Amino acid sequence: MSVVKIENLWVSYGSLHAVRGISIDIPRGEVFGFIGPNGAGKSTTIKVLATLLKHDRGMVWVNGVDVSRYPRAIRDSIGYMPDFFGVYDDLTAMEYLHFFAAAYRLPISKRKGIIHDVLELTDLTHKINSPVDSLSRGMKQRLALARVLLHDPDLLLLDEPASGLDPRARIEVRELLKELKNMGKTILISSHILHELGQLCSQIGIIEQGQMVAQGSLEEIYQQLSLMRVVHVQLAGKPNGILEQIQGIPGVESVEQQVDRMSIRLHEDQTSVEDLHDEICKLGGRIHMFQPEAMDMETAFMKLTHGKTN
Amino acid sequence: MKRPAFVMGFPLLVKELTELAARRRTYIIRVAYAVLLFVGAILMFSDIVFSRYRTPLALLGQGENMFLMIVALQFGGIYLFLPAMACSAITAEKERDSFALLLLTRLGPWTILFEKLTGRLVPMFTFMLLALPLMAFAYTYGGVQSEQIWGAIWLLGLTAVQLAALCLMFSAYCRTTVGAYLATNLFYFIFLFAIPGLAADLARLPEHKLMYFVGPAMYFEIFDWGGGLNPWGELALRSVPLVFSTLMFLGLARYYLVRRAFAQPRHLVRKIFKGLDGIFETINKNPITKGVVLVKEQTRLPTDNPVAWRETMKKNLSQFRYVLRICLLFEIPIVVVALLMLDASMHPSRAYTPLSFLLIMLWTLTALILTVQAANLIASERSRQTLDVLLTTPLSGREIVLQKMQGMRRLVIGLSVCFLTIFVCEAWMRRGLDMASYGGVGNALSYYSTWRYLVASLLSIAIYIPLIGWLALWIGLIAKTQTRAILGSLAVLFLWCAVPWGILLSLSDLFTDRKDVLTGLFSPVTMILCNEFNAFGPDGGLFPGIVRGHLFRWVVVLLNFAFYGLILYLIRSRCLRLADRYMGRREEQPAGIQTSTPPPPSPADLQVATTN
Repeated sequence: MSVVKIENLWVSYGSLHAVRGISIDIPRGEVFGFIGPNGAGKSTTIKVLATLLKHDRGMVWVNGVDVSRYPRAIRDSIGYMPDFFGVYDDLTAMEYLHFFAAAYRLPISKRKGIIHDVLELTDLTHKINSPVDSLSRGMKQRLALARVLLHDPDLLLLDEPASGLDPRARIEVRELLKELKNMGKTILISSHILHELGQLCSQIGIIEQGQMVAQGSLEEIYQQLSLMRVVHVQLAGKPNGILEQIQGIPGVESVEQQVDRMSIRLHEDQTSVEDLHDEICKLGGRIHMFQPEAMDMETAFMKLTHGKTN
Repeated sequence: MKRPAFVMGFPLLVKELTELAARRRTYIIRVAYAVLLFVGAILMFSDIVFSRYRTPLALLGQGENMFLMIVALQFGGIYLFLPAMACSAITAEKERDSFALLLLTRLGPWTILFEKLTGRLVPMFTFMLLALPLMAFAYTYGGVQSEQIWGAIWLLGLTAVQLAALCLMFSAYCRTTVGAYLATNLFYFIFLFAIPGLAADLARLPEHKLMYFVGPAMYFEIFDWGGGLNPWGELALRSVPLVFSTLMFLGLARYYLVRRAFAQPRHLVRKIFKGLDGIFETINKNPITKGVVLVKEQTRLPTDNPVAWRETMKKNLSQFRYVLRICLLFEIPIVVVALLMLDASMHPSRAYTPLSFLLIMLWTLTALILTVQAANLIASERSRQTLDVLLTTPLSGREIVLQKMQGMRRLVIGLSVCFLTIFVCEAWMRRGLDMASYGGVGNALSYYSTWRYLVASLLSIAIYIPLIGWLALWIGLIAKTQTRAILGSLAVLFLWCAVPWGILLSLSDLFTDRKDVLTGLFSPVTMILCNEFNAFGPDGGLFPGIVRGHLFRWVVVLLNFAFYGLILYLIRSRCLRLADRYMGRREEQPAGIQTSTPPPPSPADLQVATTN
């Protein structure tokens, strides 16, 4: 069963149509990356799922429950983290988590254990008695993630969780999200940091001006756009004419000789990366390095969007 | 590239005026100003035109009265509207982090001040022009001197500039618009009205004689009360303090403009309380009390009501020790005054005591504190961006609002203790007074007067205090920002108290009629004043003869509180019923209402959702 199902969602702010006919289907345990320029409608869609915004048309279900009819039931099964911290500066980390444990009506006897667990997961145990005010941005973000996990929700709605964080904090948050993915949580995450989403998400949705311009797994989007994979290859010694021979392998678009390596642009639908490796070996190349580049999300993003906002 | 030495133009002024013109609020305020001005003028004129004079010829020459009334309304308009418009001049830039950018431009501090000042005065002057048709109407009745017209133009303009300069000074000093607004009003009231008023009282002079810095007092003394034999000379001479104070305010605004450009939050209330902590702890360390702690506040963790827990444990004005200290701060002067009056109260000639004035002050402070607190309850969550997170928890909107209001309970109880002290002392003294007045015999008249005083007083705190809180909370729920919530609540409360009185005063000749007494009761302050100044008493008090008959007096008291109780009930139930909608989240939809045609969730689906 899908954890999130959106059909033909329309949301307006007065005369402005923020979301226009979006449909999404996220199966259990998937991580869905929501990408789009500012003002594209990502946060609006997430707010509808978080029961914070009323939609004009379309249907939205979380765990099969209609958001417009049973928002209270939905609130028990989601964890929402907005694109700002949303923390109370006058509380300590422990008080903050106890506050939300009480708000989610967790049994009093279990609260201490749960709070200990989420703090351990987010690596904040040593900050349990620190005032929230004194935590760094990265720590505040991890604390917000700890808060989201308190009631063990099925679905995590994370709106720009890495925005404004320094590289270290971003990596920490990314690792934490990977761990949540391994725990089987369904996650809907919006972000501007495209290559990080590429590493984390099993599905991607690219949205612009309130409309979904591409949706599917990275490979599907890649194929949909006829984008080529770049493979970096270093050969020990260079047999005569090998460059031309590699150029002749079906699916190879071009081979560019660089200072210490070759960059091969490959149509994966014709020849897979593994087959390219075998073909080079057959041609007598002794491979010192073989490095397929990660999917080029930025290229896909730029190709699909026009930088327009509502 | 060579830059021109001087470029004519007012970029900041143009930006200010363009912004103002683009805001819907500007037009709403303008319409509100026009409505208040015209309704006020029509009521006042009708009194002159229809009530006093039998023949049209008798009306000739009455234009002067009408003209002076319009001038009075204009002064009122300046004091009411200009602070709300001008206090945000600099603070709005600070709040949206654009002030630093402004300082980095080639605009100098004086240029910024001048353009900001002009930007706020232009709309005010356009408001004042709305009175031109009324002035022309008054002029046709004759009796208006040219000195009065020019004097009005000069002093209205100067008063607007003085007040705008004061607002600008506090706007440059304060970090937030709310702070600037409160500081401006407090300063104006204390230094320009209260202190001269007190000094005049001590020197046994009419108050306006000492109000050198206040435009309206000056205008009416010169042009209405016959204070000036040579109006031009008098006007020029008495304008000097006004001009001087304006220049001083502008100088201070310039001084603070850059120095306080990046002022950090000072948590003034918290600092005051910390200071008080120190004082009380020092007092407590003595051989008698030996640092005794009456109630030890525990730092507990929230169990069932997290929002109420945070409100009571983490907010200064809700913590027991601070509420106790506020209570003591108010209570000590009340008790001292009560003791001082103990002897004087037995004197039969006194109708009311200085405790009445303390009561008015206490009501003013209570209304101010409660309004700011209640308006802030939801607005502060919204401005700190914590409301969305709270709204995704299973707490219902009703629960959140009720728990938020619990935080104010201690403060309300603390303030009620102060009120009760005054009421009990007053009742006791009044009873003594009445007995003395009526030959030492507690006759029926005096007995009922005392009981009615006590009942009306107790009802006033039981109904008015929650009413102020729920009204401000309601406005705070609707308003998008903290500033709008607080200023809006204060404005609504002020207008609710003042407008019925304005109408009544304009119909002063008809004031003795019973239906007008009931009109007066549309202002919540009427009952407080009637009760306190013994308007229902046998000697008439402040409003002699307006209410006759014992039964009618009781009916008026009970009707008044039933009316406000009903309003309280309606506001409270509306806040609770529509809390989710006001706070901006989806409400549970009744079965059968759907946005389109979904497949109904199966019981198994619902089970999954609720068990998770």
